[in-house]
Amino acid sequence: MSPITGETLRHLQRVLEEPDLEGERYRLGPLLGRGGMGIVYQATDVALGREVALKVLRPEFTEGAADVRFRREAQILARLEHPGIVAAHAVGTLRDGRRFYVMKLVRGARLDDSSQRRSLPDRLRSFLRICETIEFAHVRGVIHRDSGSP
Amino acid sequence: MEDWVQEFFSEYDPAQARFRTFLRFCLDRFAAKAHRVDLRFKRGGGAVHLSLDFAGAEQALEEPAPGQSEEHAFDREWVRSLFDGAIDALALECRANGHEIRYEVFTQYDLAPDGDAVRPTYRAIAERLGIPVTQVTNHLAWSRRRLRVLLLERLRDLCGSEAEFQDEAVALFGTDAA
Repeated sequence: MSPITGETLRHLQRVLEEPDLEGERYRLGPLLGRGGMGIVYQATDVALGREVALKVLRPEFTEGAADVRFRREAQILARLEHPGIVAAHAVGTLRDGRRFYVMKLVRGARLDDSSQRRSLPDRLRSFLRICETIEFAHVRGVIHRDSGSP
Repeated sequence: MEDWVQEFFSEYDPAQARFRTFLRFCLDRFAAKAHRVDLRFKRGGGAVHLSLDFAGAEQALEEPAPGQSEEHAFDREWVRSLFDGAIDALALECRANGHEIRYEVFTQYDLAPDGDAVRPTYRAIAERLGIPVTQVTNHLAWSRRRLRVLLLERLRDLCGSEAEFQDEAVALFGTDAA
């Protein structure tokens, strides 16, 4: 076979990363973000007719420690009910073995994008709300370990 | 030949460098040696005819885009070679198991030579191959699943540790990966 072209390569890289949602109640939407362990997409919950955020484990992590951590992350999220914490709706395993969980889709501006336009007191109020949310998790034995400053 | 290959790989020490870095180092060393040989020929050394298909190789490789480094081009060719090998393995596997139709659907959709601009619809492929559209979806999903596994298996074989494997895997997927 002749080597694949650059365009074909980019297409394959994209579709192989995307979760295979065949048989699931979700229809894939645009990519929202990519982290060290998972990738977050916007998706449509076809059964309920609502937009959600779907986080799926990266393709190389179908087993091992990352898989266990990902499942634990979903379980922790599901039991933390707080206005500052995104609610988890469902968890599952795709046909290719990758874990996923579904969250409420949060709309609005990112804090790091909007903070430069806001006054200092306003930014401090946001910071206090974040601290309260983290404290809520701490008293329940959960440490975030990946929170950063915008 | 096998001895030569073994000798080549015996120089690789996972504790010292990633496999890709090792390859890059070997390539640089090879290029330097080739340059020295070239200079010797220009000075009147003996002529040796090489049958390597450099023209074909040049054609197959893309020129680095403006602003892209040779390092980036090397990384992209590394990813491309992994995909090429995995696609070949997928073709062989489909043929061996009587699943040629799966590979055919995959070829017609995912390997469409002109990319997204003229990628056929699932319906067009279904009509061309005389199968229901749902089967096109199923065959494509299966082929991608299998290709993903073959790719990761090949990568794992080439990496010296789990950490290196995970590091390299990041470059394999995603639209901004390569």
